[in-house]
Amino acid sequence: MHIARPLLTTAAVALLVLSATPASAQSAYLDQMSTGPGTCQAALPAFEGQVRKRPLALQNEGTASAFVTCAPPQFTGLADGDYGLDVTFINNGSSAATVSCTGVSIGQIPTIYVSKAISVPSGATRILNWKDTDGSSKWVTSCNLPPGTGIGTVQSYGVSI
Amino acid sequence: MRTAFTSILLTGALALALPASAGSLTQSLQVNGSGACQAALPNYEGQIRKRPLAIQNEGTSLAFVTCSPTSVQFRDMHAFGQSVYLANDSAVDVTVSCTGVMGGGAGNDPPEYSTKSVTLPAGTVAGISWSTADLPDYAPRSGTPFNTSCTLAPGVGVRTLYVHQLMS
Repeated sequence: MHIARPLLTTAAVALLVLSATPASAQSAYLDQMSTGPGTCQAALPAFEGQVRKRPLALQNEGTASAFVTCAPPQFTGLADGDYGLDVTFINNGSSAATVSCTGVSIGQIPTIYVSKAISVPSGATRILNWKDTDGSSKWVTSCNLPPGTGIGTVQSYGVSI
Repeated sequence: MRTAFTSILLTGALALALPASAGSLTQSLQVNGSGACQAALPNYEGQIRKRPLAIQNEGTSLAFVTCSPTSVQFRDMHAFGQSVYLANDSAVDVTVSCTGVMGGGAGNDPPEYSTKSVTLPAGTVAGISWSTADLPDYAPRSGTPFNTSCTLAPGVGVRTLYVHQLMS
């Protein structure tokens, strides 16, 4: 399986820097990162037959699109004012594929639904994110994965008081 | 419904804002059901749908789900405890029971169980909480994660789990 190593490495380093940098004398970043199998599941049994949980990605290895739901754990502390949720997609297919997701806000009324899509070239990774500017600092998401695509990493961000 | 949601928000907010004692604060982790729960057995999978806001029983009979939310290792549980919020999207009132389980991992200490239930009117959200007094052998100590098993009636889902711990 081809992984865009530089991109993943960049993401990991960025996370470490964020985590190590105190926001102020009274706060610290509590960012979290996991791979798809740790926080995502096929939405229905009908999709389970297509979805493989690999260590580095939750992958659609079938021949039709599959819906998956990702709900990472998040600290309930203050958001850092920018980031909310990042999802990295991997395309192991032989042609470009468009992944579409709906971000769903949590912990607020009314619930906000923000749909986004991104084209992922063959053998590449791309990121979709939902931020404060989308209307919330806490998000979960439902994604439609075309065949050959997978969810590599899921990151959630926050600041603890 | 709004009252119930407001309660959820307050649960997290209060726990975060309340100092547990001089020099210590509470940290709270939240996770929605689809991120921390699974159907307990394959025969329940056909009824269970993993939605962004809840892991939901969309079948016509009871289904068991098991939830193991992430916690921070070596941080003691706050007396505020752990919480599971359930949503009833059906047209009838239902009673949901969940069993909180801790321990039984490394070592030979027997696990500790605490079963609780809540009645949810149609179209509402309600929570079940376990305090340190409910799980006295393990909850006040660090190093043991909290888990729960819930019996979901048709139309009921596990919406959000909260883990409240002491930061220091």
